[in-house]
Amino acid sequence: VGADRALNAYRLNRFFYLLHTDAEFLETFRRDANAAIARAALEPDEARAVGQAQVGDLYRAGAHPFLLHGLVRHRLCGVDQASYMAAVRDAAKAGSPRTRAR
Amino acid sequence: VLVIVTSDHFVQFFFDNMPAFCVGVVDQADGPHENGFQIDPYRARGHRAFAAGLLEHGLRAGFDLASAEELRLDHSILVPLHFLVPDAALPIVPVYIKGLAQPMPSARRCYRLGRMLRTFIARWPGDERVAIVATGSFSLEVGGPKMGQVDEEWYAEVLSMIREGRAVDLVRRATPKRLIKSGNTGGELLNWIALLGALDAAKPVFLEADRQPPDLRQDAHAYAAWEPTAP
Repeated sequence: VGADRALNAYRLNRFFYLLHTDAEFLETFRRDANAAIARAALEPDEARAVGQAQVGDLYRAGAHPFLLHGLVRHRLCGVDQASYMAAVRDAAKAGSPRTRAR
Repeated sequence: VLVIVTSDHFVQFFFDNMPAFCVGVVDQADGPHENGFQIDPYRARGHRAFAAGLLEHGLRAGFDLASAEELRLDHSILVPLHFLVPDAALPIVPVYIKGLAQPMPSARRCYRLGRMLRTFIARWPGDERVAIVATGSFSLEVGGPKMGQVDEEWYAEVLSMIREGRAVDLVRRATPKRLIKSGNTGGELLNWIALLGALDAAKPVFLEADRQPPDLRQDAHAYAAWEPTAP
């Protein structure tokens, strides 16, 4: 709690859902991550967590793992499988995600 | 007609509207609509009358089914179609079960959904032959801390229960907790359970375990076929 309190799981999941299903949104994100983030109407803390690919915080905040793993599937923000798994495992050790949206 | 029992992977549904059960009542549908999946474009015909009949029958039988008149097909439908119906000649009726987001419908409810489907097919007045395809893993985690691990115990147990037609045991054992323990997509087993309901718990005529595809994810699933008896 604390650092990730401001992260809203629904908004984060909506963002990753757009990356998952909207080819144009994904392309925008690749070209200009900030432009895509602005379009998705994230709150500042959420925008920061996504822009900096803070996988552990996003997982803890309740981003659905299938959607969050899109960072690896789409090779975004320099997140590869190894760094992704390290972050998620650390986050899971620290406690369960805070929402039911697992 | 090909009835496809599957779980959507956040392509047709999102958390803004996430039904436990949904029937696709469409004239046609296409895909893929998910980024990063190397799947050939596919356009399927729907069977609106059959699907609408199933929806109405389900509602009368106590299943509060959702319906969708526009579909975005995901890999769980497109991959089977790619191999089973490459010429797209068969009309499809997707039946979605919420298996990838919590909370999920119960295994018992999914089994009964299958039984309801069986009754509907038996009463369907058309002269179409009807086949049912169900898809889903037994143990697979995507994007969570257990990714890459297979729940061997559950996988072996599920395989033997399906092989032996022990649907009652499978329904009893497949609690939400047990499904999730096997991996965060473990709820896809509900599609198999619904299929077993539609088959009146028959034993498969073919069952092949498939444990390790050569890709990143370790996935435990199987291929099976049944020859249904008339209700």
